[in-house]
Amino acid sequence: MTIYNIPNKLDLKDYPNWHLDSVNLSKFSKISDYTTSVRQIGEGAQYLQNLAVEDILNFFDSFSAYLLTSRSYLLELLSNIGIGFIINFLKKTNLESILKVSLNGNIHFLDSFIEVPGLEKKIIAYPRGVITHWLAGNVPVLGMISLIQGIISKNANVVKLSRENGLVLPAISGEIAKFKIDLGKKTIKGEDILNSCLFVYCEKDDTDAQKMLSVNSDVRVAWGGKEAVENVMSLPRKYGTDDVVFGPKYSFALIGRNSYNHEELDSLAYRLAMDASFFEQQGCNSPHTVFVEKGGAVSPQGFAKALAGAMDNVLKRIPKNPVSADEAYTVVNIRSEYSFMGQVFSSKGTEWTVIFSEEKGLAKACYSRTLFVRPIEDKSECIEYIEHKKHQTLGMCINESEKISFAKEATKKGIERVTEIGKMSSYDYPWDGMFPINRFVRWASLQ
Amino acid sequence: MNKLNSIDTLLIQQPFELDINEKSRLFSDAIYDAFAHHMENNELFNNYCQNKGFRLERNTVNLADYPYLPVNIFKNKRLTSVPNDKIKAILNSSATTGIPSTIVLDTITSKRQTIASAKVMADYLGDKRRPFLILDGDPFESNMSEISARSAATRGFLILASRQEYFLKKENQNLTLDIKKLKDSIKSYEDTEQEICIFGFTYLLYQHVVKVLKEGGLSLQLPKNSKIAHIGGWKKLESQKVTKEQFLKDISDVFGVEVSNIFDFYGFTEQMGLVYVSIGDKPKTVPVYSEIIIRDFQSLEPVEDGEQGLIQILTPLPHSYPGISVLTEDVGRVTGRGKDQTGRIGTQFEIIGRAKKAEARGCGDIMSELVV
Repeated sequence: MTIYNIPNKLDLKDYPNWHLDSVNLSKFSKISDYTTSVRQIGEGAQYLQNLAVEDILNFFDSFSAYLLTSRSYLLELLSNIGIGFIINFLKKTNLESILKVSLNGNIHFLDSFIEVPGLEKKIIAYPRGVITHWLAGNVPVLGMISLIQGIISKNANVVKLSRENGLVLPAISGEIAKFKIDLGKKTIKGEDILNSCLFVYCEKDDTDAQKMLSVNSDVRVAWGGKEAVENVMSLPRKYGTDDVVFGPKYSFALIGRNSYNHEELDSLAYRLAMDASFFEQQGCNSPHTVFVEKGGAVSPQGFAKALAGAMDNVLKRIPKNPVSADEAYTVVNIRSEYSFMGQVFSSKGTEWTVIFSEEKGLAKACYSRTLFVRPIEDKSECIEYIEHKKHQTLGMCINESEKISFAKEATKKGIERVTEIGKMSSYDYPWDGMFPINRFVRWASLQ
Repeated sequence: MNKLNSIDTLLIQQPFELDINEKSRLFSDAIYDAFAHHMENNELFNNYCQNKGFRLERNTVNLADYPYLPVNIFKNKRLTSVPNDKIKAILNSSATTGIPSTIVLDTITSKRQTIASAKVMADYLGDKRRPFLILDGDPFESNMSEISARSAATRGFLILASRQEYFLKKENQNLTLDIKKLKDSIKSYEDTEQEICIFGFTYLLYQHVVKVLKEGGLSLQLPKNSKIAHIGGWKKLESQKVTKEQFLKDISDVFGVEVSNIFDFYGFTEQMGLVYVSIGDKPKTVPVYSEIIIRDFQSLEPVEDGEQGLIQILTPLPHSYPGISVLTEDVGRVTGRGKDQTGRIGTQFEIIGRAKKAEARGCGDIMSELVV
């Protein structure tokens, strides 16, 4: 059994890459007594529990502003993997609203007993204890989002990093550790907050290490593909441990006939192209297939062409991350396949691809900014393709009068988020059908 | 018939003797004619080329401008450039997993393949036929699908065999080495000073033979000038952390052969008949019958020599299917041009690895359950 302790204050510039490969891992120590390490972060979480939640939110709000203005090396280094996304997420307005919606409308339940009208009693929300987050490497910023929700709910957090991009979170934490705010009577230091967090790494087939993480958790949060989350769920756990699973999901978009004015075409296509370009389409919320209803002023093929132009424009705003040999080959392969049976619009290199074909159904995800545009006779067709627990976000542009009834049908069938085009790629509440912070607390009452 | 002349002209050349300029001239003519043939006789391929914005013009087309098909296309599509009554055989790739490629062969293609492969193999192994000791299961005695698939790939090499014997046997669904049979066989050739060729798939050769002999403290002495030829790639051995240096040393120790008599053959079904050989740890050299281009992962443009990218290979040999310009799943780099360390002339390259097939990469992979 080997569990590596990854320092939560490191500088990416000191490492040849951001992955937890054998070279980087050789620089980190192994944890000899894991339960003691967990106990220590539990003690560290006392610091959080002694702070008012408002103060914690103020800390992250100031940190968010600091990241923007500090010219931190991370801003440039991580711009392509969504550091800007983190900056927005950390703003007080955002964190306060997700806390509020998760905590029955009042964030101060995390601080003390509060009278609840109607219940005739006071209630309080306590952290569950130790949350272990098993992260996926596809979208590293989601790991930070998971961790921050654990921190603002005052829990101790173990972060089991992914091999791919495994150093990104410890690097962002390194910036948090350096940051502090002065609130007059007290100073809140990032390094004190981070005493409640432990970053670890172990191999996925190191069953003993994985079990050790699992049995020392009060909440298990699993991000990743089907196999990864099932592996976590199959580990033994202690009685009462709760599971929060963010498994694999697929998202798609629907453009209804005559749902926009012709002059809005470019703007609509641009917003969709943005949704498909964030995180290189690796997120659960990234669109892969775009259904376009026939019979509108703009034909499905015309929409595909406009989308291609938009993908090229977005490329200038969000430069493409380098692709691997595998990704490059996959892109070339899908383009060639559809050159025989559809119409392919693409950049000269592997940057982006829009494929128009008359096929039915959802396309298999290709990633690397590849969108499949498929015509449909009627929008009700895409309802047939929705499967519960498999589909997450439906980006939708349809006539206002049809929105609510169509969204109701789609969500009844299993869609978890219906958004406007251009908002698919944001992280919002509820996520994957739940309010995660609600799962990170236990409620107690006083009558 | 005129259109085929340039290809026949290329085929009558020795594989590694033409100087670069002469090869370039003959090859340009031949690949032009090959494209003309396939675009004229294969509507799908013609549409494909046109969709790629390609216009065929003699003397103005740079090799890198010719469109390419990824090898995987042959798994999904049956692409034919000759009438059905000309098809003499249908070839399935030796894929032991996944979907095999399907290649249709006519007499012209088969003949060209045989000539090209015989010339290249003879250049390395010598044109004298010799006994082949094959380190695999006997396909006639086994119904294991893996053995059948490998046997199809092995067949092309047996053109140089005076006789063939198999030395792995199936035991409880596993292949094990018949050590006694191998020792006896080698001994019999040693007594007659008959040069032999040990042939096998790289992984099997190492895992089921070399490793077994090494761990058992056994070493054999092949007759003088005997060769070891292996095919199939390094992926499995790499996962076991076996380096090429270790591989060559162990084979050399176990069979008593010089490293210069160990040959690593690279080729693929979609361009059957073309083999690229490395002697010991030296790079492979491209014969006159084909040319290699390394393409950048990001831009897909040709990279500078020495830089790595996806391997594209052009050859005018296929007549019945448009496998004349294919992008492989392999990653490689050009290491030199002109005369190689052994005196052969041609572009030299090495294979770095395979463009790893994606496992679950992102959230959208849930769809693979639904669509595939």
